[in-house]
Amino acid sequence: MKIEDLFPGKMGRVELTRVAISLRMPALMRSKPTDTIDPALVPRIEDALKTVRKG
Amino acid sequence: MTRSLPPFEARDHGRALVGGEPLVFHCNFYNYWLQKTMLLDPGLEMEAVVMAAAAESAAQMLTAALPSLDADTPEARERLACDTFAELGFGTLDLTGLTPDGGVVSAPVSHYGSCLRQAVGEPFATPQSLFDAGYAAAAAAFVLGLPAGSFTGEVLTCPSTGPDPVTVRLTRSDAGPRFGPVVHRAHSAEAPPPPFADTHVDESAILAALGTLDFSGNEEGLIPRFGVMLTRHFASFYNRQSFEFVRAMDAFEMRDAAEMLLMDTAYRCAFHTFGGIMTSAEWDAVIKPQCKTQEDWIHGMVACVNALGWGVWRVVDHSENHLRIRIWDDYESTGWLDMYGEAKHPVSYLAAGAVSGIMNLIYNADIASKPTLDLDFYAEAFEADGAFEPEQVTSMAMGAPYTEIVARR
Repeated sequence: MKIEDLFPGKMGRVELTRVAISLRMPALMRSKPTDTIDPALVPRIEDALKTVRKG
Repeated sequence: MTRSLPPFEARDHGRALVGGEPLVFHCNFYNYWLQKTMLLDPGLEMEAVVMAAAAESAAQMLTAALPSLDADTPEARERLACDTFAELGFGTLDLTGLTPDGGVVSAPVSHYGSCLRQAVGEPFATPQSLFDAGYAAAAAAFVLGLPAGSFTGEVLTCPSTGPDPVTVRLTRSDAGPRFGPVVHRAHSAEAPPPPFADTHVDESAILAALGTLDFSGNEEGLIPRFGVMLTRHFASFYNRQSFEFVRAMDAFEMRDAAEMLLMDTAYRCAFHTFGGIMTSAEWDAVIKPQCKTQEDWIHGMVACVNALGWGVWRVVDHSENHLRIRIWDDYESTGWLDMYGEAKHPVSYLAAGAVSGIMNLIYNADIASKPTLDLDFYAEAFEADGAFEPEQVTSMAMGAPYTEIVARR
């Protein structure tokens, strides 16, 4: 799975930043849209994305 | 309804103070997104920073307001604290449960408890009324004649997470203030130029008209205006938490991330508050008749910004593709200078997001057609080709006489 699949567009970039901060992962924030996400990290990132989308 | 309030002072460069504390208008959307950003990483322990920022801003305001009381009694102090809470749009505060050891106090109506939920549309996982807890802790020390920082507050219940109103447990503390008093000294020595001349918009007439509107909290201590819930808030409260967040993230080499999110928060503020203003009956009655061109909408909105306590905004130049704004005494720069001294980087995140927000609303979102300002429309406007991005060109916090921001496509 690529970064742009989970975080499409400009809104996705902002969400990616929120997820990167919540997981304290600077490298994630600096990744390119076409970068592949380490499969072992995908569930953790998906969980964090769900959380930052909630209130 | 007569409230016991500290003196409100209008100062030059668009500043407004209460009890010596600079005040700025912000809406429930800004308050929601800022707090959401602060609480992203629990490891940063920003919850404690938010409460300390609230307590210390409130304590400083209340202490400075003390000479305005006719009689200095605990009852008079309590009324001042509770009435100011309501006047500024925070809700209603009930300190009847306060004892010398603390006790449980409440906010039967709470901006942070109820109006942030309105902004997001669903219950929160954690209580949002951190400001209330900080303010209540400061008020308790003030009422009992104790030094600032003598109490800490803990939110017990909050309508952001459940059915009950805000209740706060107050506990005695020997820790004292976390940050210490802010001396509000920073102030540009340079006089701002007059408003942009080549426009049909008469800024002084708009400011005079806005001056006739009532922006005090209603019976519930809330300020519903322009389709949002406003607060007339302590600039130091916003500055302290924003800047501590930036400094904390800097330590993890993620300052750019923190800055991006603070500008995104400002952009959302602009979308809802500026969008609300530009689609309001007040805009239609007072400002829209002056707007003969699309560019006039920029000048109309900037005139409104100059009533918010955000400093003096002046349009330098603009086109369909850019807007250059200079700001004298933007509250973020003056706040940074007062709290930390000269900055090594620009700190006007709110102003930067707001400048690009104005341009996106006018040129990408066609705000003149009065669209529904919901999340879907926000995403559409944000994702649009040719969306405006801000650049902080000069910064008063870094020693410049004014802050300059350019938003470009």
